[in-house]
Parts: sequence; C-alpha cells; structure tokens
Amino acid sequence: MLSRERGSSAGRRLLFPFLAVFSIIVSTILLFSSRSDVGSTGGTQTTVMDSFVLPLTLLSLPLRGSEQALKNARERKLIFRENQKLKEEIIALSDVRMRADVLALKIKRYEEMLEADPGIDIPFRRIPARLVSENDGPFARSALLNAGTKSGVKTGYAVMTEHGLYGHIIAAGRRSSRALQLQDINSRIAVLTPRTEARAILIGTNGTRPVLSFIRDKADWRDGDIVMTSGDEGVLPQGLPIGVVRKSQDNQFFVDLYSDDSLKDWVYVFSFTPILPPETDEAVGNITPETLPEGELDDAAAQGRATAEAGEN
Amino acid sequence: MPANFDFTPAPKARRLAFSAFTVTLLFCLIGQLNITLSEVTWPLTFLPCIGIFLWPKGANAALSLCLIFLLGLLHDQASFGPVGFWPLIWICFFLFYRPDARSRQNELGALWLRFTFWILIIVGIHILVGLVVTRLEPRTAFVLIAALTVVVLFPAIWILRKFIIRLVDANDELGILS
Repeated sequence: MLSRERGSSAGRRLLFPFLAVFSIIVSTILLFSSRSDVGSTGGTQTTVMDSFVLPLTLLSLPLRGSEQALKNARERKLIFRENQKLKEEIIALSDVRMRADVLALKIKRYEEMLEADPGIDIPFRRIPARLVSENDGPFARSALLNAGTKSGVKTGYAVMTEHGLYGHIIAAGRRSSRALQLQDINSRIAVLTPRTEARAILIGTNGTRPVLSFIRDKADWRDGDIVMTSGDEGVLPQGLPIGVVRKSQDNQFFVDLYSDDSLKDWVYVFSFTPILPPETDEAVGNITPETLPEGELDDAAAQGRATAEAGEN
Repeated sequence: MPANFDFTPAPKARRLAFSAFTVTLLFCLIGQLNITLSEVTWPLTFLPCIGIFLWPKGANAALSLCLIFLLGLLHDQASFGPVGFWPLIWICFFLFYRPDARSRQNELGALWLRFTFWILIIVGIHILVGLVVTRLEPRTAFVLIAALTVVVLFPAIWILRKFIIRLVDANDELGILS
C-alpha cells in the first residue's frame, strides 16, 4: 500500500517536468515548421476565427463606439468650417459630374460600336462587414471580419474602406474572414497611376506605408501621383483607389494609403470574378466538332475552306 | 525550475487552474482588439501575459502547463502569428517566474517592476524570434507600444483582481493571492 502511494507520488513528481519538456519541444518544432509561412491559413485557423468572431464583435462594439464618440467630439469643433468647404466642393463637382455622365455615355456607345470589352469593372455588389479586430500583430497585419462564405465572401475578394483599398481576403470561414492589409509584408498588389498608366507592384513593409517596386526604367512616377489597382494580376478589379505616391530622399516611392484616413469599423468586401486563363476555361478548352452547334460547324468549315483556297492561290 | 515548486495538488487546484484559464482566455480575446486614442493605436496583444503572470499559486501545476500550452496555441491562431511562438514564451515564463515571484514579494510595486522586466524580455524575444526563426523583422515600434500598454494596464488589472477575489474568497482560503 505504502509502496503504491510512493509510486504514485513519484509519478506525479515526474509528470510536471515531463509535461514541461514535452510542451517546450512541441512548441519549438511548431515554431520552426511554421516559420516559412507566417500568416498562412489552415482549417484550424478558420475554426478559431469562426469561434472568436461573435465574442469579438460583442467586445468591439463598446470600444469602437467610444472611439467614434471621441472622434465626433473632436470633429464637432470643425463642423462649420468643414460644411462651408463641402458646399464649395459640391458646386465645383456638379460640373465635373455632368461632364463625367456625358463621357460615360459616349464611352458606352463606342464600346457598343466596337463590341469591345475593356475589362474595367468595379463591381457593384458590395458586402458590408464589421471589422471586429484589426490584428496589428508584430509579424503580420491582418484583420478579422464578421462576414464569411455565408454572406458571399470568398478568398481573393478586395476589402475597401469608404476611402480606399484596405486589403484582400486570404481566408474565409463560414461566419468570418481574414483580410490581409496592404501594409503586410506578404501583400503584393499590381497598381498603376492614371496620369501615365505606369505600372508597379505595391509591396507591404509591415510599416505604415507600402512601397512601389518592380518599376520599369522608363515608367513615369512622380510625387503626388494617384495610385489605383491595375487588375494586371487578374485577382482584383481595375480602378480601386489606393493612395498617393510620396517620394523619399533615397528615391523610393512610398504610398500614403487613403484607407489610413478612416476609423475602421465597417468595411466593404467587393465580389469579383477574375478572368480565367484559357487552359482552365472549360467552355473554350473543350471545343470539338461535336460540341459546336450545327450552323457554327458549317461556318467554321466554310471559313477553313476559304483560308485553304487563299493559301493555295 | 524553482526548488520550492509545489507539486502537491492543492484543494480545488484543478478548479483554480480552469478559472485562470478562463480569465486568460478572455484576455486572449480582448488581446485581439486595439484601442485608438488621439490617432495613436494601442495594441492589447500582450494582455494575456498578465493572466499568465498572475496565474494562481495553488493551481494544479501539470494541468496549468497543459492549459497554458493550449492558450498559447489559441493566441497564435487568433493573432495570425507563427504557430508555437506564444506557447513557448508562456511556458518558459511560467516555469521561471511562478510561483516564487509571489511567495517572496506580494506588493504591487514589486510585482509591477517584475512584470515590466518580464515584458522587456518578451520584447527582446520577439525581435530575436523575428530575425532568427521567422526571418521577418518584427515591427519594433508596435511591439514597444504593445509592451507599454500592458505595463500601464497591469496595476489596474491587479487591483481589480484583488477586489474580485476579496469578494468571492474573503479569507483567501483558495490561496489565489498568496
């Protein structure tokens, strides 16, 4: 009896150091195995995201509310001056809007005449989402949104604040999703400036301002240029506003983000269907004489005969 | 590991460990939020460290280790950081500073100083792990502000904790405050 008690006590004594060593070893292995993919997502993360989103939404409500109240109190002092400025801006913009409407009509007519699809489509469908936690971690800059696949959010969709692009969705759970911010070191977005249509890649630095990289020698970028998505990577739509270029003393181009101006409580997720490469587009890839409608098959045969005859002549 | 580590399960030791787990889990949740005041963002990422630092002395040690490991993994997953980072830091912290930290000095000033020292070590580990393990340079300014935030919040949380414990366990029979 006594020896059994001694044995049990010794076992209990050994359990703690064993657990300590075991958990340290497991943590170290996990840390080294995950070092190359900080910010990568998996099934576990999506589950954690989904279970954290409801309590976080509840916790963030009073916090964001008080932040907004403080901001409102500060802005109240400037209301009169701002109102006057806005009235002047409205008068100036009404002329611009009128011209823009006429131009849009003209462009639409030209497109119809040419049967051209320029592919510049800022989607009309916006999915509103509450930004419940802006996780500015030491290694990653991401945010948790309380909208997931249930609301139509998918991986790759653009996330916008009322002022400009904020990031894009990298993981979508059922009720939540995670957005990678433009400032994150893993963020890469194809951009252009409408002034010269010069292209570049906007790369996050984990700092406050991302940088423009992969700029061609002849590309014309200047301090003060407006930056927007170019859509060249085929993931984001073209024309989403991002920010303004600032040139540093060592000739590097930084971008002051429009999304930095707003208190981030609500954001919009823009649904966008990227253009599929031809090899993955089944409708085109699998064309055979059997799949073509009868009339089109005859047309194709006639065209082929005509081409062959022209070649012989 | 401290020589005076108490391996004998205290009365209600398991309950204490689970209580501490619940409080630290709540801190993990709040730790996902940031407070923006006067255009400056104050991150609460290090908030769960207070939960680990004030882990009750009488809690079952082996169970506490398992729960801290689990909390660390949850915090990693929720904060989108490298997996294994927070469990490693918190377990080492738990092994080195608990429970002798409170067996000798129980005053707020001494605890606060000790906590500040510990948080500074965490800041150092962050930068080291960032450079060596993940090969990413962590945002030093962010880490420093997060550390400052949690150091400033520590006395308030300690006083609140003491107040709640006095309400539920007036004679400190559970040994939480000792």
